[in-house]
Amino acid sequence: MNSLSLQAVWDFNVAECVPRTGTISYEDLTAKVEAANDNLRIGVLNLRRLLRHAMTNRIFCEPVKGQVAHTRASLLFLEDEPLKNWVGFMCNDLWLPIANVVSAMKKWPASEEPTETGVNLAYGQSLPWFDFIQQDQEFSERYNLAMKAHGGAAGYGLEHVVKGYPWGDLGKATVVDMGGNQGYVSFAIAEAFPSLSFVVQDQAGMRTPETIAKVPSALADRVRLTTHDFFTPQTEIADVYFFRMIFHGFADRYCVRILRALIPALRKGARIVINDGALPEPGTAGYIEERTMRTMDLFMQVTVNAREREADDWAALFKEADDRFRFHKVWLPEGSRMSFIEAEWAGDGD
Amino acid sequence: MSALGEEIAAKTKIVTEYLSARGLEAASLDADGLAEFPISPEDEVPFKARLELIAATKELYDISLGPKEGLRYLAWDVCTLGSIVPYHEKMLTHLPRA
Repeated sequence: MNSLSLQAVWDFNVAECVPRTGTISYEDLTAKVEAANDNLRIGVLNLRRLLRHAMTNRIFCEPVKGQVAHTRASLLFLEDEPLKNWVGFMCNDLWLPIANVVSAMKKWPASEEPTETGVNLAYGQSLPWFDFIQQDQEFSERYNLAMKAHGGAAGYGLEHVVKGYPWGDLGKATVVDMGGNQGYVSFAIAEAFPSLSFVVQDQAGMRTPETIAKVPSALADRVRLTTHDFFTPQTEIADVYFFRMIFHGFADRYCVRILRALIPALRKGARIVINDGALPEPGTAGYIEERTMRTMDLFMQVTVNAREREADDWAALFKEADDRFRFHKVWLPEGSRMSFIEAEWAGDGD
Repeated sequence: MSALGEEIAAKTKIVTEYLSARGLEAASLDADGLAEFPISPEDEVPFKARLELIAATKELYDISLGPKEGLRYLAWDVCTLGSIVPYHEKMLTHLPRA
């Protein structure tokens, strides 16, 4: 029911109809909310019960009987656009998919396919998550803004990528930033470590003349944006292959394919460096961290049938991909919510 | 927050003293513990103290999170699949009792 009252507050834009200071009666508020929703008939009693439930979650309050006022939490709907979209994304867009996961598990037992998820069942469509949301501009914008609320939370900042790995120990080296989007992570690392060069690979859709022009001029001789699909054989020979927030989006069978696709370019000693979620050993993390990671793990199941992994799972992934990967370790940098996972290629190279 | 902390300590004391005076145990999260408090509505003082304890701990929890983080978690608690799956999959009946 938390989701119901929250969804109603979000969908009907109730926060916009409550004065920032002072109070408003349920009657006047209902009239304003109905007017703001194309004169949809909601009714005072329906709005009142939804709001009184929301109030048990500190969203709005009733300082005098019959009068509604803002709380700090309800004001955030007006002040924090990413958070507002996060609420809409969770309560509106993901609610039905979540309710359909168990049915999806029965329809497609133990599926690792991104097209056999709660999202596919809930929305009666057969596309993988990202293709599906891109069909609907409002949906995909909400998703992007919602992820900003998540990424903006403590522990996901770029400083943890820069400080969390001993990049300086690599000396003069080339790093391939796999699925590196428009290069913003490589830019940050390159700025801090002048001896490193970067090749930022992503799919053709990410490579327009404008995005390539966005490489800061000071970094232009050390950071290149190129086109590559990480499921196809790697051709860049480099010291490090870096993956940030890639593997948690894929089920094991696809992750194994991504690792195997590197092999043609791997030379002895080449490193695979992953910056991604790593599940804590059960009971070892604090409540909030454990719950955040467990929720992320379920979130990956709901949307793409992928998952977060614990240390043993990461080791097993490399082992399954090829015996010549030597798994090093998983560590969580101080203050970071994302871990580093490192392995090395012990084979001779093709 | 300090006032809430003190209120929580005081209400906890009322509940635990009531239980220990009667040789009763508190409810527990352990598998072999009590599933509910042995306090009936007729035991007015400890009964009321426990309800107030629930409200005060929740309030302290909400304040400790702060409105922004609180709202973020509230929204994604729609992701509490974990409580739906075991029910559906009848997993609970297959877990060993100890």
